[in-house]
Amino acid sequence: MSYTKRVDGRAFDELRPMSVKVGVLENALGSCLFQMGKTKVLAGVYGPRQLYPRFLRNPEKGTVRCFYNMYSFSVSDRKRPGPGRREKELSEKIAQALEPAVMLEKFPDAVVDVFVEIIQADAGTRCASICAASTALADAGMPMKDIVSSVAMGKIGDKICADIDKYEEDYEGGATDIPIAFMPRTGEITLLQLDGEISPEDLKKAISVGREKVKEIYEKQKEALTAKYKGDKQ
Amino acid sequence: MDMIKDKEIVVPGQVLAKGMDFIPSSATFRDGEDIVASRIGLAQVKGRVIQVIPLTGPYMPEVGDVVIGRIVDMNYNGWEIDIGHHIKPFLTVNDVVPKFKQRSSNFDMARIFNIGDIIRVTIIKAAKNDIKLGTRDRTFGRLNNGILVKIPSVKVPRVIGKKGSMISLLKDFSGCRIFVGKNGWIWISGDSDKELMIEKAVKLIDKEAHKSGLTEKIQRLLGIPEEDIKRMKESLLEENSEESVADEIQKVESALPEEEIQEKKPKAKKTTKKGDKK
Amino acid sequence: MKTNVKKQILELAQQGKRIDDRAFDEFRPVSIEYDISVNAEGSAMVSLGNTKVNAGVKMDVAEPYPDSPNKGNLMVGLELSPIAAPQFEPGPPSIDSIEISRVIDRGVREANAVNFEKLCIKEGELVWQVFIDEYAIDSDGNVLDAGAIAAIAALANTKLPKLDEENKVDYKEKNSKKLELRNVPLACTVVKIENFLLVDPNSKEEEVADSKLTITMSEHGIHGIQKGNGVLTEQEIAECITLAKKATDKLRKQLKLK
Repeated sequence: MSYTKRVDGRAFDELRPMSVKVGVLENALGSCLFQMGKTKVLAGVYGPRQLYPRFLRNPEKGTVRCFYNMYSFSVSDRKRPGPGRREKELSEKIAQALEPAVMLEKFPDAVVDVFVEIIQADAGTRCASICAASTALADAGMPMKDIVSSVAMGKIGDKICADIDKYEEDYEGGATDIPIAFMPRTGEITLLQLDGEISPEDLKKAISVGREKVKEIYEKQKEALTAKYKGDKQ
Repeated sequence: MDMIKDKEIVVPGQVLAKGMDFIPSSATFRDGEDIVASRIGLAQVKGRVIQVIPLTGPYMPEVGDVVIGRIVDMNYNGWEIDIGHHIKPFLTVNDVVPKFKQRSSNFDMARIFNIGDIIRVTIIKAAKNDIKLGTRDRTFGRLNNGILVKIPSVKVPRVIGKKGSMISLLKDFSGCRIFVGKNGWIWISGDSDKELMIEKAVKLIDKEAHKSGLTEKIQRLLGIPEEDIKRMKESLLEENSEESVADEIQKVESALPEEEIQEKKPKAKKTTKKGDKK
Repeated sequence: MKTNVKKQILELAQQGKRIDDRAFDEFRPVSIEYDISVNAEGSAMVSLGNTKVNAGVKMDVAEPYPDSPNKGNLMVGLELSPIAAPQFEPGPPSIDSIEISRVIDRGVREANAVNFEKLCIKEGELVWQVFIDEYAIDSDGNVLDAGAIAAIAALANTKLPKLDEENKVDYKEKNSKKLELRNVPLACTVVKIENFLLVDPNSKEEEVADSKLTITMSEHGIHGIQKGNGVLTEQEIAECITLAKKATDKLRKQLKLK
């Protein structure tokens, strides 16, 4: 089935409008409010701090932990509060997507906690979480190899689309989700999941489009981080 | 782009320079041909050396750092100290009190340091997973009756100021005693409303450390009359015009105030008398 | 450190001052941002000083409770998300968060903030169910009062979703019918530090407080009281009520509810 035109009129490789703000919280050491279309995520970072229970500590390098919390009112049908299986899996995937970028060897035994709150959901929440979280980590002054940028790629009908929304995720003509995260400088992939049906060629295409599109996201993240300090600089 | 501009704000992962001619220094690393920033901060290019002056971030202890800490736990062996780092160094009672005094019938560890007490102490070992505190030098001791304010450790040079100018300004106009720990923990003791004023000043320094005109803002906050602010500014201008924040941070690297501390050896006093001190 | 902060707070109190420059009977500045989440029927972010709470209302249809067959159902939950403060831990709701949720719930319910009878669709069979879910995102003390304001703000912002012919909720169709606010209950927490009574404690004041009392009030009177730790005399409770009345009356006038 041919998907000829995106509902919101975007080009197939076009991202939704983005807004990135850092330093939005007082208590968290780093924070970021990241909005991509109608998906809106708040991330806050604490640490490095002591990790409990003790047996989870790694004496060689620190640990990144993530807690993905979906607000009950972020979706149309109220979501029951508290983490279910989905939230637990996503938390783990987000942490794994961030970990390669953080220089954890400087903090053996310690943990860096990343909390992400999904305030409003319109698909791509794990990708937005990764963007928000890595920006918040940089805002916290954490030593990092790169900022992680992520985009929800998808094959909707017969088209490879960037930054798919809820309508596309539920598209009747077939939708394949491909959330993907990169360290933009090196192009290394830190998250890749796929759910649907796709040919190897199309997957390769989706990855390469994603690789290009995250550069736009990265620029926004960078802009937000430096804007905090530009102020009335001479 | 081959080369970052001096004093530009950079983010982790940003390529600062290409080529083997350059040498990466602090908060940067080399990846093949590239020199890359690892923290958010101000880039600094000094000839071939490229580094980043971090604008915020976790405290990384170094040997010789004089820090402010807080007793968070104790057992029969000693005390656990929070110094704003994920490792909470342990101070053993044997390092603080001679054995024979410990055997005294009225010996009470809580009289030496109790939970919640603030101490000043020097770091003598700063390995990745082991931090040790010194008890033998004159910085070591408890700080009584003050308040504690925490800021990121990278902002400490701004609280000290050029040649200690900021810290003397704060002290002179408040009459407070102030100790600035390298870890970004600051102990302030004086009249309550003055303590509060200094706390506000320190928080303002933290928020606006990267901006210009900070000294004047602090002077206003301290209630110094406008004409005096102007006069002070003019006299300062000749000395150091238009220096960047990064230069300044470099200069005051380790200019911590050297002062007498209130109780150099709490152990000596505390164990000998049946103290009714708290 | 605790005792030093207490000393500072007390010395300032003797001069009639507080560590954040306000009167003893004054709330910190309140600001409200509405429509923070489009999928909610109503939503708001409330800042009470540096304490920030996100709140949203979701509505659904359900069977009424047997003891109130002609009234809509209400459920309030507030999470002390670990993003809000280093001491908040991830995991199931803490006892603090349960208590806060229940105090806010009782305030909304007992003050009849909304007309629950109007939320009855078919007596004994079908009523609207109102979920107010709240998340603290930054805590500088007194999350309870901030949460109570956020609950009211989110309710004031709520539009009823549409019901189809089979009485199923159609969230895609936005109904323009607003949930009408009948009454504005506000919680006011007063702490006692030695012989001083302070309204809306920040985290430092909360930490050194000897006792605590929360009073929920509307224009019609008192709807709920919750005593926290410590002891209070009869006279002190009377003083707390006077303070709470003054503070909530002033705040109610300032609030821009929509």
